Amino acid sequence: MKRTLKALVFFGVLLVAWQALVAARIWSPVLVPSPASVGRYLWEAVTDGTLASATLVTVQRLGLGYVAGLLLALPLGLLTARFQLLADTLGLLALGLQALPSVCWVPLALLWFGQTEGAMFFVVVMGTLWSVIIATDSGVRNVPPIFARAARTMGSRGLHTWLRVILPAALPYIVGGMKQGWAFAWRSLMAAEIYVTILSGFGLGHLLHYGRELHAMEQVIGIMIVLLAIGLLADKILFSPWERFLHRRWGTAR
Amino acid sequence: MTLASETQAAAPSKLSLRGVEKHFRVRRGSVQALDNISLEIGEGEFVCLLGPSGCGKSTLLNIVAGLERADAGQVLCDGAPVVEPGRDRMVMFQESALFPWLDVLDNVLFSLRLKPGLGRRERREVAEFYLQLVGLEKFHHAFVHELSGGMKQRVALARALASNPRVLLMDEPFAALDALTREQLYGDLQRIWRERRKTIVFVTHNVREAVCLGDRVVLLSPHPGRIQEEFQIRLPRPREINDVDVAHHATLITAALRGYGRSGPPAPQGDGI
Ligand SMILES: Nc1ncnc2c1ncn2[C@@H]1O[C@H](COP(=O)(O)OP(=O)(O)O)[C@@H](O)[C@H]1O
Ligand SMILES: [Mg+2]
Repeated sequence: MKRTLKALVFFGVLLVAWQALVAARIWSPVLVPSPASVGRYLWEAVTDGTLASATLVTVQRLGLGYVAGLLLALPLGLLTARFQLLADTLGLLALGLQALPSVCWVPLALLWFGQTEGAMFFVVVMGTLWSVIIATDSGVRNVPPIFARAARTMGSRGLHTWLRVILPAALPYIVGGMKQGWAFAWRSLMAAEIYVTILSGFGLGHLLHYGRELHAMEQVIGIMIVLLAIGLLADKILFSPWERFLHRRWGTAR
Repeated sequence: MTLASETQAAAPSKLSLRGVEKHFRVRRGSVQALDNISLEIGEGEFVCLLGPSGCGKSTLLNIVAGLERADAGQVLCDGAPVVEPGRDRMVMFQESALFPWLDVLDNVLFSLRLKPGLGRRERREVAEFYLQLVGLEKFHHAFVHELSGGMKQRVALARALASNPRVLLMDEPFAALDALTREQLYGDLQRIWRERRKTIVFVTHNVREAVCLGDRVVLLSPHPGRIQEEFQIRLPRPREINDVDVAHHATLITAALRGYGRSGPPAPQGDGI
């Protein structure tokens, strides 16, 4: 409660400082709109439904691609950790592609899929995939061998060992990778949405783009605030529970 | 040869090690970890394998556990060759090897869930029984990192006991604990061994610990690991680490160690080797 209060005070102060800057008229109000005008824009966008539908489109793209990326990456990471041949081939590829800024997938996606949902999906999957493969792989490699040995003496074999021992033991790494994958996916999706218009759905990135085209700074800043809020929410809803779980079980300070 | 050793040799062995050898491949060639180890261990016997670190104690225990394969010779358990780990031979390691993602109760349940023929309720009852046996009935839902070193080893013991193995293999399980905690565990282990009638193979580098716990102390020497000598410890139980008789026997064994120390293992110091 106290922490929430402190956060609220902080953002309140930020808002006041912003208002003060606008009132000082250092920059043109076209470039730095007042908090009130941004609030007005957001209110309109909420009431006429554009914000809700854009958020839905974006979150859906993100969620779909992210989940698909995870479902693909987890088994692949386990496989590269298990088979040296895969580590030397697929693992190497993943390591290289993980370092590639995920925005770089956008032109390729456009050429392959055109201006379609497929392109968006592809970009998000590519953002997620590689870092989760790498994290799962190194997580599994860093599991103390004694866990698997102890499990073996208790009668655990094969798939049971992988699912009940190796995978949970690698969880701290995997959650780290999931978080990174999320960040990459989110960034590349925004880049894609700003970069290309897809008629099947206008996401938040498009709103941002049109804000710029129309020189509507209050729209640009308003959408950025929404993006910030989504990022925070995702962290609190998707990752905080995992991190609390890890913290409680492993006793690691994070 | 005494009458006792004669009758014991004739009795059927629970564990039978026959000419066990083990080599490890290292960067330059290979090292021989174990050389021609033969040992008979009777049902219900408490045997301590004693030796300096690096003499192959863990390797030997892992072979008995079925976690590693011998290069030559074989290990029989109830007359059947050991080829893989089995629930009849549970292992306790120096590090507790408890799973941090599970709480205490779930750690104990892990082995029970793998045992066929037990219902949910039965499993729980069994787990609770063994946690009580090691004195941790109040810590069912604690997480591993919240436990002290001694408590972790108690949970590991409960987990090993839970699937009711006939043989318990213990690899320096108390080496990382403080002296007071260890003393308590010596008492508990002897009590549990007697009550639950287990066969125990206990690895240690601590002479006193070996004397305090074992019916028999088997002395190993390093490079390669060989059986040097065996000592029968005929002292009343429960024994305590600071008993005069325990200290006396420990002195004898330490002296024996020194005796061949010039040609074999390094000279021992204190009660550790
Ligand atoms: N996996 C391994 N690879 C190479 N050498 C090993 C391996 N495990 C053990 N050894 C060697 O075998 C010998 C016995 O080791 P170990 O059984 O761990 O001894 P102890 O448990 O008595 O300290 C040591 O010299 C050790 O270096
Ligand atoms: Mg050892």
